[in-house]
Amino acid sequence: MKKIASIITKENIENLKLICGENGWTDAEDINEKYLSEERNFYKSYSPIILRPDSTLKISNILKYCYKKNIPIVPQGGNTGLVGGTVSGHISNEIILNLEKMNKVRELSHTDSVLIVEAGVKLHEVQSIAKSINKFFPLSLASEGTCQIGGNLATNAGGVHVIKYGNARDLALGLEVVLADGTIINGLKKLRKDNSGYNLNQLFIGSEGTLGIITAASLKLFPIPYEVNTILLALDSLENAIEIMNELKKIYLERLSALEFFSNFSLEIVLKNTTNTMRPFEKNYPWYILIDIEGTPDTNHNSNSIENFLFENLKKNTIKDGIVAKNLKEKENFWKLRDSIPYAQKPEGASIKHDISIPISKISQFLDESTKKIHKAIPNIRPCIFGHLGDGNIHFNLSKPIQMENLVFEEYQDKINKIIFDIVINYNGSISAEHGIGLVKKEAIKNYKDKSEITIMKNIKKIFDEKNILNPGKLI
Amino acid sequence: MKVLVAVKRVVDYNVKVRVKSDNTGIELTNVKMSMNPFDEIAVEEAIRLKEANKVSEIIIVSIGPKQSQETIRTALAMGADRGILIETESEIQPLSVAKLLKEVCDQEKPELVILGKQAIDDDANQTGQMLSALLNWSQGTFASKLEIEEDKLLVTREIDGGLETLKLTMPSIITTDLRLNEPRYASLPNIMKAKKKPIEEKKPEDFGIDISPRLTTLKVIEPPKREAGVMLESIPQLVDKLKNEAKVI
Ligand SMILES: Cc1cc2nc3c(=O)[nH]c(=O)nc-3n(C[C@H](O)[C@H](O)[C@H](O)COP(=O)(O)OP(=O)(O)OC[C@H]3O[C@@H](n4cnc5c(N)ncnc54)[C@H](O)[C@@H]3O)c2cc1C
Repeated sequence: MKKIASIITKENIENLKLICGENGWTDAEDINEKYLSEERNFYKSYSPIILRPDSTLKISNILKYCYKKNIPIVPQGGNTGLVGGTVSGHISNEIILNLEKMNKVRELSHTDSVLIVEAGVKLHEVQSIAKSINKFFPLSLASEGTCQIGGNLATNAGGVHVIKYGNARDLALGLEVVLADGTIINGLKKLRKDNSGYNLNQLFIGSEGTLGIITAASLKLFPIPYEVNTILLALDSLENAIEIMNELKKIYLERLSALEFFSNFSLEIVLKNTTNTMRPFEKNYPWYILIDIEGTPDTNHNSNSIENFLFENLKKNTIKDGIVAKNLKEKENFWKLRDSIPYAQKPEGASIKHDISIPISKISQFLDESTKKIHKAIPNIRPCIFGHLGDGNIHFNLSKPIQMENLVFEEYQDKINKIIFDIVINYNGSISAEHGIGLVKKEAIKNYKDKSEITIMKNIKKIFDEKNILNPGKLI
Repeated sequence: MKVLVAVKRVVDYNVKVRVKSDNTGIELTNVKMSMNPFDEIAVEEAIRLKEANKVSEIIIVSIGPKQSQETIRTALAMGADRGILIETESEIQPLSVAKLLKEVCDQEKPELVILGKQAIDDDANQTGQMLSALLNWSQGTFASKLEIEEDKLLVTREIDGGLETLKLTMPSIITTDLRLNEPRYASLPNIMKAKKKPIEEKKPEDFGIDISPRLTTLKVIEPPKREAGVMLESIPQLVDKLKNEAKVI
């Protein structure tokens, strides 16, 4: 893809300020750090100005202008992405366009079970808006207090409810998108069925800001689930965990709404580094799984049948121990143990993180092989393994050995990645299950994705953004 | 020594309750119900006394609809020994609860009754005190610490300006405050054991107690919404608002 070494003049900046209007931008010297840093601390951005427009029309005018002047733009949502997708100033002199002021609710319909919101509305706000009319929006991730629905769609976020409700992709009925030349595509449909040609919406979802700027979305709402039973189980092997999971999927099919797993190391660092957490079991076990099972109107029937299933397995020793949340506060406590893992890893020093997916039948083989090889490469490395077991999505994270310097550990990044990615591909997995490619994995996909697929992706990029001004250098 | 613990099934503490459109009460359909949090603390305290070998048996009593059985099971799964359900579908107020508990005490003869200081649904904060009066037993309300010293109970209570410790002669009534302890989780092996523990089922009539309410609820309404604040430019403007809008000066 063509590199553009754009030069942004004072005049350009003044014109962009005029387009954004009062309060619609922030000058370089006043820019808050949060727009320029990123979660992984790999990159530091530079942007001569941050644009914060509050309407689709303004965004369209910004792009018309940038298209004419060859000024590249980096769309930015809540900036919680984990692959450097919102970094500017590394590939060329991009300008950051943050969507936080696109925060209006456009429509909320109980009958259609549809919510239309602008891209900058935060995920947890989307959830509460749905709740206000007794509906449920199932997308849920540990970063939901900060990330925006536009960012979720741009990265096709996954989260904890994929097992029942699918990825962000499955929750959007339509999008409003501004293209590189400023054209506005209004695809805010409310239809559950629409076979009137290529589905362009789905192309923008997961495109990480490289094909268009998502300005609004029409979202699917669901009935609020009946009472959810939350259970934390302790197991002595991952094979047993997978067995239990498959049984649960068979028995509860539609009612299983989350199935997460984490290793003992993950739990230990959470208990050590997170306030207000309580040790769930007296003893330590190698693996834990956290399960949400939605109830049916007959609640008595629910807890009984789930308990019977668990008792059987307890007797067979396939489950070592377990706790059942007896109220909503305990449910929150259990989930806090899971949600705090990514944050609890920070105080443990440098880490190398992988977001991979593996066919479920191969997960335990994969973990065996990769942990062995990793330990051979760096003795005393500390794997922090957790993820969405129900979807075969593993966060194969590695914390540095206690004695090793951060910088020394970071030197191993490429070597470790190669070890892991080679095994992943061997098992027909994916090197990016949900976080995307961004800047971090851009080189890696060249080696791990099919060549002809990459060619098609490049051609698509050319159709939408021939001048390469939308998030240049990311993803492709 | 036997301990009796009273537990109530209430709307879960973390549910945002909504008033019914006809103002007769709050919406209860598809709402999560749990054990009253203060009662959970009472159960936990009884179990800790048993683990410290100060107590031989823990009996759980719940008065309410059939599903209160689940609440009793929860207490049994935490570690209590057996349950008594006094089943009634009608509304039941603190005085009736206290009278029924007195009957149970007469039969079971515990040395100690532990209750939550209040139930979070009606917030009455009366049952423990009424029971103490009916039985003529000593009472230590809002306990934040409890110790047994030979045949005496030491009860610490949080009061304005500090802590107060009472020494009670048993039999006694204790009501629990939030800081008394942190209740344990219910583990699967214990839930499984709890299935085998007995729950005796009774009705208020079995005790010859009239539970008809003495108080009538006229209306349940939402608290008024707080209005958004405004930023004022100057002191004179503030004075003007206080005088002419709020009419307080
Ligand atoms: C603690 C933690 C837990 C997480 N857990 C998960 C998880 O379980 N599952 C998961 O999938 N992800 C997870 N993530 C990653 C991240 O939160 C998600 O990818 C999220 O969807 C990103 O949203 P955002 O608004 O922060 O986007 P940003 O980080 O701002 O942007 C992400 C990418 O999308 C582009 N973009 C943003 N907004 C738009 C827009 N309106 N139009 C076009 N392009 C846009 C950006 O250019 C960038 O390439 C987690 C992150 C953290 C920090």
